[in-house]
Amino acid sequence: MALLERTEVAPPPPEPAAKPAAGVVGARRRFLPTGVLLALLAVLVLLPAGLVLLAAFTGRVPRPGNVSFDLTVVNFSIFAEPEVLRAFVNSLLLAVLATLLAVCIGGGLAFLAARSNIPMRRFVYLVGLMPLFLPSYVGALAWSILASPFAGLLNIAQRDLGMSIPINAYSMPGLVFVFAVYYSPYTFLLVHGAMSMMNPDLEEAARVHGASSGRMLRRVSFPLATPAIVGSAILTFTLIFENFPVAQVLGTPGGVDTLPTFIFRLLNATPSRGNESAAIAVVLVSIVVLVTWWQHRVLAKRSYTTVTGKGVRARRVSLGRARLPLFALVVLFFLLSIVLPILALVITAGQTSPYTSSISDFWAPGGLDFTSFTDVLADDVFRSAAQNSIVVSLAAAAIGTLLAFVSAYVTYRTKASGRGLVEAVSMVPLAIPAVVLGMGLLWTWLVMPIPLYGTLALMVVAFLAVQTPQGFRGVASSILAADRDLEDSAVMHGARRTRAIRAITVPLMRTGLLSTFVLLLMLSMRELTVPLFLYTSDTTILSIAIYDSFENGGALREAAAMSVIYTAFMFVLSSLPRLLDRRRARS
Amino acid sequence: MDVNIEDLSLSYGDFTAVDRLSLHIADGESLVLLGQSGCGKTSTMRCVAGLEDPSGGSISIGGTPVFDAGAGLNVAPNRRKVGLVFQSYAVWPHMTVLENVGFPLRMKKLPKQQVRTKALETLELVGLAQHADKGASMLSGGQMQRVALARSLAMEPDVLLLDEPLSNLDARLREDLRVELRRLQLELGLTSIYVTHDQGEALALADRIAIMQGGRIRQLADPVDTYRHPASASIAAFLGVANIFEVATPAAGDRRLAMVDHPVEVAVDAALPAGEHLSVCIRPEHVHLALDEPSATAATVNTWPGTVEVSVFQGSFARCSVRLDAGPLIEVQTHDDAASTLRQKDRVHVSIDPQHVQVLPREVTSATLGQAA
Repeated sequence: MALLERTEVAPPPPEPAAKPAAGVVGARRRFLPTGVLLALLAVLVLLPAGLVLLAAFTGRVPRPGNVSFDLTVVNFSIFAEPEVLRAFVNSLLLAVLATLLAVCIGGGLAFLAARSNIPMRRFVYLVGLMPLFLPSYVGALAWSILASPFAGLLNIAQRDLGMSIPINAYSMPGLVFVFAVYYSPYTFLLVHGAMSMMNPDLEEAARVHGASSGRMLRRVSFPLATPAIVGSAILTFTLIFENFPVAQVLGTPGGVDTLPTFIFRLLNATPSRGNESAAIAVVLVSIVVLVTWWQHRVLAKRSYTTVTGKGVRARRVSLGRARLPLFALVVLFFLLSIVLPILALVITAGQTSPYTSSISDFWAPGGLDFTSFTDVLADDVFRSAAQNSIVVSLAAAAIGTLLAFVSAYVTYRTKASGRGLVEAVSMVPLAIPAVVLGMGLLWTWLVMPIPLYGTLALMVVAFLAVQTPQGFRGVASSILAADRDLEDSAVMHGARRTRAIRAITVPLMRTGLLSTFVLLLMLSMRELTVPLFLYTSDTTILSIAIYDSFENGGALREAAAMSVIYTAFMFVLSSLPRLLDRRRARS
Repeated sequence: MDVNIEDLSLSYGDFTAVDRLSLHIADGESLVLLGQSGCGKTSTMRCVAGLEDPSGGSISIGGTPVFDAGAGLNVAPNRRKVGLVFQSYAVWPHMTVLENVGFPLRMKKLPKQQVRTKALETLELVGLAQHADKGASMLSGGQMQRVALARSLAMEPDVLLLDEPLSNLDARLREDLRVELRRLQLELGLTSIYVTHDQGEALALADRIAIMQGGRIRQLADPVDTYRHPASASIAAFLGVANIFEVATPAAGDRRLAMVDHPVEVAVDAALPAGEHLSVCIRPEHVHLALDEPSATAATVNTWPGTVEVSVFQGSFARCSVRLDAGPLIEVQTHDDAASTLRQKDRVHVSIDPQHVQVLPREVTSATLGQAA
């Protein structure tokens, strides 16, 4: 922080006449903070990305003391293999279809919750939001329990009832459904925000100038929400396109490969085909970059939305006779997204026999036995994984918030040279799929002379790298909202810059910093893909422990119990910011 | 203490906010920087405060240099003993009124008891002592404004800077606080630099007014002189002179000037400035309205017939726009009771005393700069 302080008195300039106005001191003040920050971000973010890029164009994977620079494009010949092409097509098709469905679900729920007279609007709001609390791979695991082609609980129940509608989660439609359900909250949140913040004057103006209620919605309300809809669609697309765990859990058993699962498989093949997977990664990144860039362009045109920040009550639209049927649909979605999956996990946790032929087995005496929960809680593996998760997540969230604060402060509150670059580099991980970043981080910290590999510190470093964009955005929005005069005013009244930051800026940004901290904490707790590349038996974290027990099949019961505990914990964590907000509103 | 600014320049990228500006403010003087937004007045003030990195020139306060581009010197704002009242007040919402005002005293490391006594004394001065323990965010705009002022006064600054401190208040409150500010400034003998775009405020508060345009000072004079003798037509327009018409370049000794856009000649008394692009400037309160045909005996110099286009009654005066038959639209402000009954399309006669007609160049040229000081 001392870097940000103003230099009090300059040493005498060496060549008085020839020097530019700012002089040596000015130059040091301008370059030092950004230089240090950029070096840090480069090691965190750019080096891993660079190594993947290098590996894609060379014949050997980076190894300690042996980084090859003989460039070649031979790795890209892997795209001639039909499997890769199929995975590519699958990824695109899956992302497009799931995005369309997610936007319909999220947008529809947002409209119902924000602007309609549907019964229990508060509940509808929670239904729209709740899939966010279930980490998507936990949702995927639950759905694999529910709807695997033979042993799936839904299929067993059907057999009990003598029905045979084929339900198969290990398929393209299954994947589309699960992705759409668990990624719909992004659209929901953005569109709900746009719809409830909409200035009612704009709509009333439409009514006054002759539009019917329906025409008003079509011509004014939804067009005003378009940026939110398009923006969330693109965000959802990139998230699904790069997602690894869901595709791995549901796609791989059914033979549906996507680019991320294909990369993972190539890397874990014996012998490992790192260079070819890097080549696929480069293509994956290019597509995500392209889409992200497009998103920026679309969102940049947002200004025409005259959405005001005032907490105005928008008008509600009457649904007429569709009111109850629509509510029934909401309840159905709630059942499919939350109730059934949690129920499936709980039942599996209590299942005494791994082979179930009828749902009635569960009601038989001794059919369900929930000692698995206490077993898990007493289990050393779970305990150490939970402890690791908490230590790593707390450290990553705390350091991440600090890093984000310094980056955002330098970017928005100083005139340091290269401050735009700090923001740009902070945003880079957005465009890099977790699979690729995980691969790059692995290579980076194998090559680096600092012995972090195999320690929890590496996990912290990895989470810092993955979450710089979310941290930066969180802090930046609250630093922009705080009037900078308040801090300058403290300096004018005799406080040193560092003192002013501590006494004024940080206390004023308390809520923003806290919610950034909680956000980073949650993201760290649920991150699976990146640690999957980096964990060792000593550094297993909760998400890995769950994934591992499921993938290795043997410990399904314990895995389900862990998932339930984990989900409950995530739910509590995610309600923290709202509780904090409420406390603040009261004080 | 006096403030001396020499050759000060400040640029953001390609944009020059302050352009080689020199200004001396005497000890105890109240100087107002007056100008439209973007003229560089706030930037100049922020340079004195130390919140900007000027690209050239020097500033000294009480003889001590605080900024010197040549020597690479830029004293930190907290070492300058300069108070600043922000346009947004910048009253810290997470502190009480007393904590706000006590802040500069705490920064001076005064003992706790003394901080409290002095802060309370200062609050007394601005009439807010009874609100000392209130949270600062619970105050009204006018009260916040006083807290900001008290906070700056508490530090006993060498120079007090005020950045449009009254612009966020409603009109009545503004006028009350204007008088109070002037009283405090005179009582405490504060050297102050006051930034505003409101000519009324400038006239009321200034010992001298510096009018800024394009990052430079275009006119520096006391309020009366500034009001009576604006240095250019654009300054006159800014100071509320509503009737400005460009005239053809006169020959030597000409007493009647012809408007460029209308077939109207205006008689003038004053000596004409040299140069081209001259304009005649007439304040709306200097225009006389008559309902009747002027009698043959009365002077008919600068008297024209016209039609009322719009008339607005404003209580103590009435304001109307009169379209002369010859073309130009004249703004009139009159205290005449008869004028308050004027309606649209009424026929009137407009007359202007030649001694109230000013002839001014369109802009101040750099040659005339800095002489008024």
